[in-house]
Amino acid sequence: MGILVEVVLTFMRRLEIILKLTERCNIACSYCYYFENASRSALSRPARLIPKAAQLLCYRINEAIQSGFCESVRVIFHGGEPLLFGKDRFAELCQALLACAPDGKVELCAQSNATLIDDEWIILFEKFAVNVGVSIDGPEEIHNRHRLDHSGRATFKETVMGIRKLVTAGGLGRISRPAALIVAQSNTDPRDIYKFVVEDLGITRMDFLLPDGTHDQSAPVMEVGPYLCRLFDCWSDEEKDGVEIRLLQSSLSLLLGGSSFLGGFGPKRSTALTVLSDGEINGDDFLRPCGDDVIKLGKNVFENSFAEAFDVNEKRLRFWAADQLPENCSGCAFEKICCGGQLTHRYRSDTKFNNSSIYCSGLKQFFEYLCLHAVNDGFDVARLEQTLRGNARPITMNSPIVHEPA
Amino acid sequence: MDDRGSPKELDMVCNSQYLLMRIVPKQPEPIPTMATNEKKDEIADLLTRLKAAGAKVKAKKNTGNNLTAKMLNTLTGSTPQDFDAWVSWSKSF
Repeated sequence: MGILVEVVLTFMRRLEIILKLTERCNIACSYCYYFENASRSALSRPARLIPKAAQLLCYRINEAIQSGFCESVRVIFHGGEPLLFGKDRFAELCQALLACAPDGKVELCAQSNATLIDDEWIILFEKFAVNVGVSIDGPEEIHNRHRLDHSGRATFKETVMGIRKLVTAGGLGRISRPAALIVAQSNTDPRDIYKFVVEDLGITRMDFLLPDGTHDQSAPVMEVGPYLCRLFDCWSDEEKDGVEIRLLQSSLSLLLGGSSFLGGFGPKRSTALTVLSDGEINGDDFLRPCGDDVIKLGKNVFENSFAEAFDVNEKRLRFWAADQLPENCSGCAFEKICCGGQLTHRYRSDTKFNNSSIYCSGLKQFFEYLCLHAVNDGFDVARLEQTLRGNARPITMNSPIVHEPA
Repeated sequence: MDDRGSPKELDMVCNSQYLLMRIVPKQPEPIPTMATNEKKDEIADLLTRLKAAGAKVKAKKNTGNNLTAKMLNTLTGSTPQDFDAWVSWSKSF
C-alpha cells in the first residue's frame, strides 16, 4: 500500500486547536458524539477550561509559532456548549490568545448551538473577530428530532433567535457571516434543509456532516448516496450565487484536480488537535466516535509542546494505517479522490483504519453523479481520467483553464 | 494488514526519537502483481458509463448554474486554496 495522505510538511501552515472551553452542554442532542457515548468521559473533567490550562495554552501557541512548527494557529472554541464559559472569562481568554502572537497569526472561531447568543455575545464576537459556526439541522420539525434540552424540550426557537442575531450582525459587516453545520438525517429531504438554511435563515456557508458511525456499531447505515446527489441537485439548480457547501465543493474540486477544503476529507489530513478543559491534548475531536483511546495522546499543555503532541498523533494514526488506502478500496475508480472516506467511518476496533467507509456504496454513487455532472458541464473526460488515475497536474492558481463550456 | 497493532508496539513507535512528520521518505511505487494486473479497470468502466449517460443528459436542458466552470475559476483564481477543520471556517476559500 502506498502512502496516500498529504502529511509531508517542512512546517505546518496552520495548526488548528479545538479548545474545550466547557465540557458541559445546555442541551442534550441524542446523537452527540461527545456526551452520548459509552465512556461519558467529558463529565469527569472540569466543567470549564481551568485557568492554569488557559495560561499554558497561550504559552504553547506562542511556542508553536516561534519555533517554526506552524505559521499560524486557529483556536476553535468548542464544547459542550462553549458559550457556557461566560462572557467575562471569554473576553479575557480571547484577549490573551490574540496577544500570543503578532500580525494576526492567531485566529478565533467558535462552534455553538446558538441558543445563548444575545447582543452582548455579538459585541464580543465583533471585538475579537470570532468566526462563528452554528449547529442546526433544518426546519423546526427536523431540528427538534434530535436537538432537545435536558428536559426533552425543543430548542429550535432559541437556536433560530441566536442565529438571526448572528446573520444580522454578519450582514452589517460587524462579524463574518456565520456558517452552519448540519447533521444529515435519514428520512429528510436535503432540499427542505437547504431552502430553510439559505432562504429563511440567510446563511450561505454550510457543511453537511454524515452521521457518526464506525464498523463497530450495529445500527443501520444511512443511505447517503441519494441524499448527497439530491443535495447536489438542489445546490446546482438554485440560481443563488455564493452558497458554499463545503462537502460538495471539496468533492467537486477533487474530481476536477483541485484540493479539498476540508481537513480529513480526501487526501487532506486534518491538522487539528484538541485541548480538553483540564489541559490534556488529544488528536482531532472528530475521531472521538472511534473511542477515547484513539485520540488520547498522553500529552498535555503543562508538559508538552503542540509539536510533540502532533508528532505522537501522526505516528499513532500511521501505525493504525490511517494514511494508507484501505485494502478493500484498491482498484476503486475513486480511490484517489475518496481515499477510503472520512477516518471515523473507516474505523473498526480490530483492523483500525484499514477498512473502506461504512458509507462506501453511497459515496461511490455520489462521486459518479458528480463526474456525470462535470462531464455534462463540459469538463474534459480525458482530464477527468487523469485525475482519477492520479496523473493530473494539480490545479494551482493561474493554471490554464481546461474547461470547455457545454 | 501486517501484524502491527499491539499497545506495546504502539508505545514503542510513539516514544521513538525520530520525527516522523519531518522526514517522510518517498514511498516507492508498488510493483504490480498478477493480482493487480488482473483487476478490472473500474475507471475505464466508469468513463464508458459517463460517456453514454453524458450524451443523454446533454440532450436535456441544463437549467442549473455551471458549477464546474465556477469551481475551476475558483481553483485557478486568486483566492488561496486552504482547508479547514470540520468545526472551523475560513472567511472564504
